[in-house]
Amino acid sequence: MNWLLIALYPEAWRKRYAEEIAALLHDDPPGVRGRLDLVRGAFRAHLTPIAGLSSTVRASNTLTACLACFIGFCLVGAGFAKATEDEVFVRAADAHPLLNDAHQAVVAGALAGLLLLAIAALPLGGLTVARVARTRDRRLLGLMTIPLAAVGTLAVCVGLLAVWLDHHRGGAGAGGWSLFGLCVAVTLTAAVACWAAPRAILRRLAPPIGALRPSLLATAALSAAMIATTAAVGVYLVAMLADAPALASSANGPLALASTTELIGAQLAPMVLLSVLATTSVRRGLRACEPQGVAQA
Amino acid sequence: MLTSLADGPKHGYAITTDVERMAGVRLGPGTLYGALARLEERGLIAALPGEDRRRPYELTGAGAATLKEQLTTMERLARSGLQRLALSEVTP
Repeated sequence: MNWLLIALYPEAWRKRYAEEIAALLHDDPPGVRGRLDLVRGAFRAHLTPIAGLSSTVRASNTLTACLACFIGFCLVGAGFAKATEDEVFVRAADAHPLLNDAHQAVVAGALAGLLLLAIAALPLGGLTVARVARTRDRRLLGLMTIPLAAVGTLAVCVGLLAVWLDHHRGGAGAGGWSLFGLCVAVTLTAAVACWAAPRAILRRLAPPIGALRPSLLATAALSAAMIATTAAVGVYLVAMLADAPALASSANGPLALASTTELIGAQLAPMVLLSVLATTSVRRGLRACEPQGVAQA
Repeated sequence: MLTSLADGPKHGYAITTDVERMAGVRLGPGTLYGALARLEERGLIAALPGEDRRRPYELTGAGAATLKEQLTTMERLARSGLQRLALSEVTP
């Protein structure tokens, strides 16, 4: 149990303190409060860099942390898009300008986020391609193909599900549900792959802090786009409650188990959390790029 | 925790028991190592070479100066508060 709690801490933290914490837990076995304290400490450790980390490692950690936040944000955002795709929502948006504006702001925020992600990835992608061309590093080349393969596989699965549903309009049936389950599994796998592969590339590439700065600035803009999108979802929820209460209370989501308000509220909470985490991480990364942070390296 | 290290280096468990004895507060392991990391980051304490898995920590010069400054402020505050209390007890 103790090693599991220690595993919640960031890797750099574990390298520095895991042995000591393990010794402390051996000397003084924790009760429930002690274990909860470790979980809280692990959460805070993810937000606080430990002493001795170079500015390059801090900046790289920021990029991968923001990428993880944005991937999670995209998954939740896909849920929002799915929850509000039906014709009734389009009609409600046509009838209520605020609802329409908020929805368009969500879409604009999502597109801006994707564009900023591409801008953040561009300099590092260029560095990676240059390194592969120079050194013929097959491992690096393999890592580069992983996100593309993951997204490609996901697109194929979603395409298959769309074709299946198009041919079985009466009901999805066992085949449809199996394909849906496959899509969920592939989505989660692709999400992990799209985070883990760039993380591994950054570690292998170990770019200088100067090369990371443009990506960090784009990531700062990305976190701002996440905040704006989250705010737009909040406005959408409020506008729906005020202008279209019948729609707000209508059943929605998987198996129509929740109301639209509950569903969007449940999506808004992780959006807020992920936006805050990304912003905190970006602030940390930008501080690492400051002259003092560079000097510490 | 700085006060606990004022009389010499201690490792995590010794700091926990010392703080509990002094202040009546039992630090959880997450809180303890969160605080140790912050103090180390600010250069107020430093880790010494480990005794097996247990690494003792000691006050740095900056840590000792900060502790002295904090304790002096607290002492002044306590003295001032006690004087005012005594004065209010004398005056009806």
